[in-house]
Amino acid sequence: MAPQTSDHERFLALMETHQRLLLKVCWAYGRTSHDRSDLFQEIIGRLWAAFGKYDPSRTFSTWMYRVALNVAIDFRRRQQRWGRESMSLDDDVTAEPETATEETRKQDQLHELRELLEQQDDADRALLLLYLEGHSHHEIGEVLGIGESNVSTRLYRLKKSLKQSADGPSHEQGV
Amino acid sequence: MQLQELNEKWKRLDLKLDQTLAMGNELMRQVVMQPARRRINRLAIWPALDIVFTGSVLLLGGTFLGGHGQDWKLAAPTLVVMLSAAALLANSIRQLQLGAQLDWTAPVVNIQTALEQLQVMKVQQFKWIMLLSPLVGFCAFIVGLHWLFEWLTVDRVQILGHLHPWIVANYAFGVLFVPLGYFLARILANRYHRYRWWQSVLDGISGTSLNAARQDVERWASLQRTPGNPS
Repeated sequence: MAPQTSDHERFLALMETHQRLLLKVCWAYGRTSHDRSDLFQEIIGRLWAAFGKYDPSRTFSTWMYRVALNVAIDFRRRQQRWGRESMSLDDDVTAEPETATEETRKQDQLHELRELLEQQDDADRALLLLYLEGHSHHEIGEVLGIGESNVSTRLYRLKKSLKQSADGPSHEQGV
Repeated sequence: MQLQELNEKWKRLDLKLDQTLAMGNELMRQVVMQPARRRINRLAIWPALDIVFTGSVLLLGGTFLGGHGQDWKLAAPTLVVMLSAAALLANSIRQLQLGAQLDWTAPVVNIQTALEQLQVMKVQQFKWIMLLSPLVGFCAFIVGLHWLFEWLTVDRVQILGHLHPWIVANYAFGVLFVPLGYFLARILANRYHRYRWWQSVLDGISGTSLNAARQDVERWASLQRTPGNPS
């Protein structure tokens, strides 16, 4: 069912409350600021088109995450097929005036975080994103459509692989 | 890097998003406040065009066959064209159906599996269009030429009678191109990395893209199976 005109304000109010989550999804799946802006618009368009189907008795953020992640993964897949994968990473989400050193340090940390997300496949990236947002295993399972025990197992493996990749270079260097 | 460390970095990202929120509000308003603007479903464009095209081909082919069914030289190429159009029509209807059934609010694994299945169908369609195009294209050419000659009231028998070996050679090439095109695409598939478009065509014909799409379907579907418990 298509959303009614009177739903505009309700939708916009919900989105304004939750848009930080959307921006994070865009940040995790879009490589450049241009990509993120395109992805953001696409997600909003898809959310608005599906808003008529939203059941208010259910958690809005779970519903929103499903749509956002579905669109983001599809967006990324299309980019890979069209050969836009070689574009450089671009961390221009920020521009607030800070001291150069502080800014550089934070940018480096975000760049490192981005690199790490880039190394994950689409499913693990979604899993990691939801985990970092502090969602329970039950909620993660609900968004992704997998069982709770499955979420636990995959997170355990992800933690293990992150630890291994962190330990790897030190061991090689004999530190 | 540990997850705890990641968490801290993630929180820093949270602080950094504030400036982007203003842009987000404006964009949202723009998208939402244009309810009259029709949103074109990207997944439906090509299958819908294919349905219109193949439907027209079947209609015209049926009419032509009705008038020339007794002459096997015309009935055979018409049937080849019509069978190909029917196969393309069936595939396009299935794609449109799958696309229409997509509920973007459903769990991620379900939707991504369905999207990859859709991709498998598209790649299969592309592969067979490419491999059969010389044969079907020539059959369509013969039928079209006869139709044109009839319309111009030209003696087609006199004109096409002289072209008999050329017609046979083209049929033979069309038939041979199916295995030959596939074989060549497999040989050349790894040699054109510098030319992305050409590479993707070769990957499509040789089955590389199809295998990749099938693996993606399997990868998403496997997420629903519980892996072994951590020790």
